[in-house]
Amino acid sequence: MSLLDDLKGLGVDVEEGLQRFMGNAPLYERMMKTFPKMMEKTPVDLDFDASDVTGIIEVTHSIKGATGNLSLTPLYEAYTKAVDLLRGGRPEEARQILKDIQPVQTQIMDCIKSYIA
Amino acid sequence: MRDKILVVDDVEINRVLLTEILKDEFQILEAEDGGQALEILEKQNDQISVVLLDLIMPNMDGFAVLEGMKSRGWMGKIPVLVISGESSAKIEGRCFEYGVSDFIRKPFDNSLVRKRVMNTVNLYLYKNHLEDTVAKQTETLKKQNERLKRQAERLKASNERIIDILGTVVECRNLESGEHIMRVKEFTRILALKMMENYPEYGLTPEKVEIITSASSLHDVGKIAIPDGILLKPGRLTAEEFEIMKTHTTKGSELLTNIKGIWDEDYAQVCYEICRHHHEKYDGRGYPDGLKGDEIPVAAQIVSIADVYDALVSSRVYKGAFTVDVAFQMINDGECGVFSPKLLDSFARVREEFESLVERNRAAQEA
Repeated sequence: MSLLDDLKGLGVDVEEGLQRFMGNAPLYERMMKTFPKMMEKTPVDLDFDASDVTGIIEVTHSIKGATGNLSLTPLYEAYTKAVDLLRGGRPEEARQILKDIQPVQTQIMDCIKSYIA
Repeated sequence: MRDKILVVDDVEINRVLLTEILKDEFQILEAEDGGQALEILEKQNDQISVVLLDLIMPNMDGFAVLEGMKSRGWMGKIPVLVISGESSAKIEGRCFEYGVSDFIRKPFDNSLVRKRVMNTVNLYLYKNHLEDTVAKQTETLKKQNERLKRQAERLKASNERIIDILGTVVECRNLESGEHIMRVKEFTRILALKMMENYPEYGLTPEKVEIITSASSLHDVGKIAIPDGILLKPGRLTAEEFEIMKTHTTKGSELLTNIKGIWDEDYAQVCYEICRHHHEKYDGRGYPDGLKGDEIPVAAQIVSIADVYDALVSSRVYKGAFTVDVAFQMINDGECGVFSPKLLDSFARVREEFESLVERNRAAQEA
């Protein structure tokens, strides 16, 4: 089994991701391995202040872009919804979405990390 | 040469992906935020063919970069493609208001990004090439125009010098005083401007008025060919002497024909017309050609009335000066020959200006 096969099993649209990386599987994998580092660098604070969502929008928006380009589909869909809810003035619903996706996110992160030497 | 692309995105994955897509055609420069982007642009803006810009970034966002580029005059010179996860039409519209060339949404399709980048780069290459060409041609035209302007100024100066020289010849023979020539010029200018204003059918322009004014000083240049015995005779001329005196119009115009070619055609033509026809009368009873009505060139008609008016209000060896009122009346009553109704109308309209000039000249002479 390879990283990409494992990720496919977790709902990642590997075909689309590979196409985006022009079939360059090593590069796609390399970029995939930078994802946990990025998440650690700018973690999502689930206890964000609902009266000031500027910071949390910035972070979720960045994750939305990265997960979209990596075709981490379950995460991309969740972060897209969260950004829209935050912008739409519905922070509590966004918080719930972000909380709900945490198990999937942890699974994906753990999978990627297991391939990092 | 613009062969670099600046990728501005805080997320490394996005930068690497864009680099991968475009690295075969371009050298890729990367910036992690808006501040870094402006620093790179500051140093290499003449080498960057396109900026790929994310909007939401820490420290300095994409809009701040657009603002910075706008204030430095780079928008319009360097195309910007916004690549963002933003789905709001309002934000997209705001980007286009800054003048961005395209808006691509994340996650993007690599072949689409490549095509849209290439299209934009080619469009700007063409646009910049066109602008360079237009700028170069404008510069060349500007230089040519300046050269032509200098030549026209030199030609004008040369024409005026020739007129001055000939005018001085007339003065030196004591044929007419320098003051008379100057006064006729002034009356001519005032009357010609009024004719230009009221009677556009004569096609007078400020330039033409200047030429007529300048050329008026040569109206009597032919008198240099008239024998002193007749020219300087203090008493009344006999009929035979008067016939000889009348030839100053033809002799003057012949003289000007002989020097044709050394000066500007417009000047030469107007000088000729004034010199030959300033004694023609509107009813055809003037000389030398007995021209009638508007067969008489308008320049000659104008100078004719200016010359007669000055002769009337000035004292000569054989007569005293008439008052301005009498002079005005005599011209209007046709006592000095018939003038065009349009010219008389203009003459009436400038009466006060003429009289102020007479007043000023008299005061200057007495001082």
